[in-house]
Amino acid sequence: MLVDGLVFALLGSALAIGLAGIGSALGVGIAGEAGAGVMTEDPGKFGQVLLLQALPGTQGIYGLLAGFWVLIKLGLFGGTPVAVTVAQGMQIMFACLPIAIVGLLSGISQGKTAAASIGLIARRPEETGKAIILPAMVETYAVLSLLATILLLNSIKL
Amino acid sequence: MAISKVKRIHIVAHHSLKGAILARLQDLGVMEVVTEENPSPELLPSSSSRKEELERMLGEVRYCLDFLERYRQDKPGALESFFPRPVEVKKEDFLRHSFSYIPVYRACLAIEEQLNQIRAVINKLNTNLEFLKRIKNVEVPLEYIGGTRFTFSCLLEVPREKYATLEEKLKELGREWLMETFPSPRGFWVFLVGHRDLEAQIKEVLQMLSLVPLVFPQAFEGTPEEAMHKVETRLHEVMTERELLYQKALRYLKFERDLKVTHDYYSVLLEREEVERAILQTRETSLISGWAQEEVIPAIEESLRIIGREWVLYQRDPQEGEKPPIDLRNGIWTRNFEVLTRLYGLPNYTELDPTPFLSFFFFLFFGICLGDVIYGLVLALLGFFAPLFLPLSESARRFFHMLGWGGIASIGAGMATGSWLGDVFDYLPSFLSAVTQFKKALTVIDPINNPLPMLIFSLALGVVQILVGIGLSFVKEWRRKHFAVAIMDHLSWFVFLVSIVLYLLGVTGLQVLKGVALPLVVGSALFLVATQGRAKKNPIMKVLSGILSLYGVVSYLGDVLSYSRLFALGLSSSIIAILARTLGMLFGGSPYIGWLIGLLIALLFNVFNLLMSGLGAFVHSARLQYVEFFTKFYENGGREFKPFGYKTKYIKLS
Amino acid sequence: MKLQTIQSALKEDTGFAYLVGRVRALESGILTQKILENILKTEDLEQALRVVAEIPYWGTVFQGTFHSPQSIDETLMGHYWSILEDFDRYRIATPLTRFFILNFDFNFLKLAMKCHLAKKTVEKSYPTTLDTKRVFRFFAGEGREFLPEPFEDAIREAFSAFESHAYNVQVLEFVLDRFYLQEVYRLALKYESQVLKNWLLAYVAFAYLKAVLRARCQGGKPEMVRLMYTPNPLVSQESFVSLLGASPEKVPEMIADLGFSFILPAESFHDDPYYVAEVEKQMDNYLIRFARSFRSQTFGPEPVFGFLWAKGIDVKNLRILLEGKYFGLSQEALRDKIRECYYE
Repeated sequence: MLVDGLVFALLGSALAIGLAGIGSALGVGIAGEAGAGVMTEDPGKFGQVLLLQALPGTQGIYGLLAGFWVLIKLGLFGGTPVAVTVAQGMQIMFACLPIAIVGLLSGISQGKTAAASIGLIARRPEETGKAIILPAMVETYAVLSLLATILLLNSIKL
Repeated sequence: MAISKVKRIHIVAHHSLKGAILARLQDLGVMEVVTEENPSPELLPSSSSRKEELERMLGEVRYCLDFLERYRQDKPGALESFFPRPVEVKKEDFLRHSFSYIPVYRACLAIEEQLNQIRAVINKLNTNLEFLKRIKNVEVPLEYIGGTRFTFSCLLEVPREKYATLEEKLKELGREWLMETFPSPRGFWVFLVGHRDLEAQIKEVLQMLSLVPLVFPQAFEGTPEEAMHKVETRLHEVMTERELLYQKALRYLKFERDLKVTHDYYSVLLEREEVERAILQTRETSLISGWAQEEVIPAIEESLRIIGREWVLYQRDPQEGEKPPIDLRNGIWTRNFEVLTRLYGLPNYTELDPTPFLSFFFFLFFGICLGDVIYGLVLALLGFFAPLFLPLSESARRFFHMLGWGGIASIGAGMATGSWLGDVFDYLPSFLSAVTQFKKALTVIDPINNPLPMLIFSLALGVVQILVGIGLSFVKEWRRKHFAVAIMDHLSWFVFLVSIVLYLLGVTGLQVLKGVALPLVVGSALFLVATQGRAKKNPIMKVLSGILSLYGVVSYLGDVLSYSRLFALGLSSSIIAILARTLGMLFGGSPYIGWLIGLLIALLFNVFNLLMSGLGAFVHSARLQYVEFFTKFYENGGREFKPFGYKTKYIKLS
Repeated sequence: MKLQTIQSALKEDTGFAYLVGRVRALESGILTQKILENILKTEDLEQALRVVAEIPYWGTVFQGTFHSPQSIDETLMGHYWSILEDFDRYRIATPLTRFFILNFDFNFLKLAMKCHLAKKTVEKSYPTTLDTKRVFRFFAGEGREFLPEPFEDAIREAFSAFESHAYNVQVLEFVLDRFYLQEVYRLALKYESQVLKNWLLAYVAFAYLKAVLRARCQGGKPEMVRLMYTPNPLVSQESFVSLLGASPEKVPEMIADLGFSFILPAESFHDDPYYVAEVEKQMDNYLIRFARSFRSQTFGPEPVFGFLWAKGIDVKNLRILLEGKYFGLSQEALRDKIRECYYE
């Protein structure tokens, strides 16, 4: 069958991994630019900059997690694939959308916040603690969307 | 494993002993000297004048070392440049060091200036050479170009299209002109000679055709060929001169060791000068104030006793509102993880040192994230054996040890999840099948085929760490005698969360727990509602804000979910290793040297995986500590303890 | 939610991420009121220079220089110029640095023209993007020489105005100022950021008011000063000309009509150089207060522009203070002259 439920399910998995990965990549990139700017003037801040730059990387991992979850649910890892109807496949695809969309947009937002935090520690290095909290607050929503995806995926009966 | 107790000490001594005392303190390297705030009015700051002189001398020595670095022939290898070998000097020799660097400095300056001049000359010669190359087809001696009493001459480049027009126009003007033509890439080089009377008109013609006479950078002699030859000879001469200068510069390399020692000697003196500025004095006495660790104070007194008797040492505990410097003292194992605490910020004096807790969790998380036996082995070998071969500073050695311990954790995690370089050990030739059996026996959870337990395990670790964080915050407030705050803010949440976990366990597994957990949940929730709003005045507001505070559960939920990254990272490193093996075997099937290609590809991917997963494990484990763990209890804001001692860049005192 | 809109939103907003990061680190070297107070309290130039050497990024600026007004001036300009050149290298920042570099270039042209007319060469090296030799060859009328766009026309008009106005040197300055402000106005129109556009327009308006007030003091003839005017939305030509000729009582009214009453100091208006200096100080203070809102922005050209302007004001303040210390002026006199800082 050309149009099989598996197609949609894998599309969902790909979207989750891909879009969330894009969000993280863009976010980490923006933060990295700001970090490079700060380190041009003050190379000693590398440790703190690296840490702040890594913060937006979470969305990619969450997307990967959701993607794996789908693959595990489909039994593709264990080598015993489950038959999937079109309806079920589409259910899986829509269940992956929360982390895909939110991962993309929150990754970019978190990247901008991380860039701003890097600016903060450039002038006030003693406030590293507070500077780390600010981008981490954006992550709450990525976490919630991951939760939504996992709950949705769990509720689908294959 | 804590913040060492420091005391504020004041040493009052007679002027005559000041220098000796400072030398002793620098030798011991245990006291941080600070300026006394709010001194009584008789105390005045001492004026020291040697600072500018020492800074100037230090700058000159640094210049010499930079100069030698630029012109040395034997560049150090990559490893050597990251970990330069320090010069070993005995302490007594160091303190009595005297090397007059000024002749070396003057010689370096002179060589540098000559090299600059030579560079300018070479540039000019090259420009001339370029210019002459362009007109090398012209066979006219260049000194003819210009003018005589009755004639003027110039050299032009005439594009092919304009040549005929030029000839025509000039012919119209008369016959008192001459053109000699030579080939050029775009047309012709025209050597134009004309009578002075025709000069203005000829110039007009040229302007009309937009032809510009060539401007020479300098006066040349002979034809371009001859002039070029002369320039090339001169260039050669100058280059040989430059080589000689380079050789001369190399001769000064033999002073490198002395220069390095001089550099550090002056920096030590400079530091002593700076400390002198912090000292206050009266007519007869000096006051040196600062901080030192409690245990060390008798040693200070002992060494001062040798100098003389005209001094007194007072010590006192730090007062309210003062910010003593922080010196962390940790056990042999926890010491390696101190760098993480320092990165975030040192604790303040009234807190506890988070390093012991951080080190245990970081060790565990790093292991789970990297999660492979062979990678862990490589990391462990690197971490523990590299410091034996490379000259490393103390902090660098501790960092390597931290990596090494992370590797050991990874070995453990790899054994438990059955990840020995991915699944390579599943494809061993039959005579090694015993190894495969051994591996399978050790595997507790196989995350690829059965991921759910691994995920639950990571989340459980998260719950544990968060509860530890709340517990530490409870202990911190209890020790500060804020009993009410400790119980109402921290203990209550602790109980609430534990009861929720028990209830969930009861719902999904052991039914008996349900009965125990449910009253606890309700009870602690009511307690929270009652106490979280206590800051508000209005009783209705108290209850409302109490109810709102229960919303905090969502943030704890978010924190716990964040720990799912342990599972994700561990899984991803295993999967990339499996991918490496798959690709290797794929290419291994090619004929003849297939096994070599396969091996290389597998090796490449595995090295890449080690680096990327290692970096990810480090960064994300650290991030979990900072964002989920520290925020529960850590205040930071401490200032590092910087004792007055020997801070050398190039040498190591023995 | 098209990919293109996301991409373009990212690029516009975050294209300055690197430069803003650098600016944040460099901002620790911006002077504050406290540092200025410390410099005011010192007793002589030596001590003042020592205080300056403690400020981050200012440590090595004055090392090895002579302690004389010319050398201080040169060092300060050189420091500012090096920062401008550094930022100019980035394509995205070129429109911003162009505003500051234009100032240097036109000042250089004024200097060069005066030297050329006096048949001298420019003695010290003034920071500029123009090549001194080419400029002088252009002055001498060598046909093949050309200069970048606004400068050629500016020089030609300046020379012709110079000849037609009885060889009065001030005329050169007026014409060059007109071309400078015209360029600044064109730059303002090109900027995408609305706040920067408004800032530049304010700058141009202030430049005209400054010129008018100065001309009143120095008794400049209206037909010469008029040479400076170029159309702009804030100061119309009639107001410009009528301000020149108005009597001292009417002037505050007219300035208030234009909407600029805040630049006038408390005392009553009179044509006096000290009064004009006070007005200039108020103008600088207004511009820096405007720029303070740029500080807290995370992305975009505003923080970079604000930083560059703040550096310029710092250089101005340091020049006032250090030269004042050299000449032994009193603390009150200096405190009156210094401008407000970017960071309070």
